[in-house]
Amino acid sequence: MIFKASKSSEEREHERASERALITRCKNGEIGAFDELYSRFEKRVFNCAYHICGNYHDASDISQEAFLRVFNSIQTFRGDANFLTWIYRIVTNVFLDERKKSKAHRQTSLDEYIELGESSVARQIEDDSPLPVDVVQANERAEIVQKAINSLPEYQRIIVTLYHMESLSYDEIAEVLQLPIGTVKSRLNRARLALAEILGAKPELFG
Amino acid sequence: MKCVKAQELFSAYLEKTIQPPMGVAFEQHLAECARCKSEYEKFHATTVVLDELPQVAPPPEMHAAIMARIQEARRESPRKVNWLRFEWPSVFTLRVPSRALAAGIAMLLVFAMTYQLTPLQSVTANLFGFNKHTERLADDSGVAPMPMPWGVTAAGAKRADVGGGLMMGLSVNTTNPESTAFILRLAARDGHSIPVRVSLMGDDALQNGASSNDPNSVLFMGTVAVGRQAAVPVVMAGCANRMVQVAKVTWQNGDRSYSEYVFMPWTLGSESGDARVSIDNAAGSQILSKLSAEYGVAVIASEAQVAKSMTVDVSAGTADEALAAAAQQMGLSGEKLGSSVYILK
Ligand SMILES: [Zn+2]
Repeated sequence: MIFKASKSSEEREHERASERALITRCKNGEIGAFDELYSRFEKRVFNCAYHICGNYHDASDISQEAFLRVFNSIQTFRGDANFLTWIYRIVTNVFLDERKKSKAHRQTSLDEYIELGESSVARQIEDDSPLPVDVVQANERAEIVQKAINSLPEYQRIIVTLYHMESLSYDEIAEVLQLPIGTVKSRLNRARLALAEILGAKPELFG
Repeated sequence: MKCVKAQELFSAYLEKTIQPPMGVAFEQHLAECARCKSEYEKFHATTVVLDELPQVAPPPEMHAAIMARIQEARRESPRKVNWLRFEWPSVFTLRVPSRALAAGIAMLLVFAMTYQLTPLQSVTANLFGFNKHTERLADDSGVAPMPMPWGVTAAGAKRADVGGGLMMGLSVNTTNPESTAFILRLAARDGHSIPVRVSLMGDDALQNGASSNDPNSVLFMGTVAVGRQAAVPVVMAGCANRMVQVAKVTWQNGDRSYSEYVFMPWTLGSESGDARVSIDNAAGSQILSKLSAEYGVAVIASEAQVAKSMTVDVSAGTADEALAAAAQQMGLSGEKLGSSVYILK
């Protein structure tokens, strides 16, 4: 056990070292290094963007913009800072900027979505008859959860995403959002309460 | 315990970070309140669902699209990319413009940095080494607000009102043995932006107090916009043949123009024990240069003070004492802006 733990910390150290080397190469303007950086963070950046914005197309736009900003500002990245939280900060900033630009964009609640929605999921939920557990396919279930997340205020969905989907700690989220830890905790609690309220009405989700 | 309070504690209880007495009260409430109990079960189940939310695969074409945009960004700003060719922890592995070396000036304006510091929007910069190339900085406000790109020490955290609507501060990093890096921070105090020019003073100019007309010595020429901080980085290399570099900041407010000098020592915070600075009847600029070098302090002072001739005899163990004594002899008052950074008024 002890051996395993020490090895994994060694591995983390190694990972950090190789990350630092990669960042240095990026700072030197090496395009290949950016390619590598992209491959390393692509999934995380895209998933984070997807879960906070709620759709595939916007997530792609946000990811592209975020990587461009990473490229443009990597010089300002301090070697001793946490690169992952730095990247997440850029992603969330891109998202918040985009939202600001289209502020007319009102948040749609799940209920409204059900009323207006066209997808099969929406229609299935509309249907009053209870669904057998196995009918709700994993994808559909994910879609329902995603819609519920999208009904949250911006900061709450960012925090839910960073905590649950990206597995960041409270400390790291506080760093990403430049918020006090207490604020992060209380917002996550509020977000979870709201999601429990929405999703709790659908027991079939908790198969 | 009220239901609202209990629900505020759901996360803390779930994550077992709740304080023991509170935990007891919480459990007691759940035992008594069926509604909260059921809410908590939903809450717990929800966190499990969230943790299990599957990952989504990025669109395969995204990779190529991003790399193409990055290539394009590189093409559009080759100069910028050139200047990006260094790594901060070892500033002086970078390419120093040959012009700067030829001029014997071991200071650099690092454009890339000025550019990257987020608050610098709509600043027009006329850059040293770029032969008066003027460029309007793109709207880069989207860049994540970053702390200073290197571990700037706390020195000079404060900004001083230098009059004429301008606030001035100086941050310093001395952690790199091969260079001393300063960031001159400028901000507009009043509700309008201020045109500012920062140039480097040569020895001749310093001695006769005249302003330098050498275009190569211009570090920054632009506008400090309202609500934004202009950061002019100045890096001094170990190869510098002088112990102190002096920048002159000139700005315009209404129809008046103002000038302030900034004395920046190669070694900052090196209190040399019992140094003595004794100068008879010399320009203030020479006296301040000497003080800056001997006591390892950065000093900001107005041009009027610097041009005057005066006599100073200071012998002190600490920079604080030295600056206080010198200020007194010069008929000025000194204020400390941070560790080893002073302003004389
Ligand atoms: Zn209750």
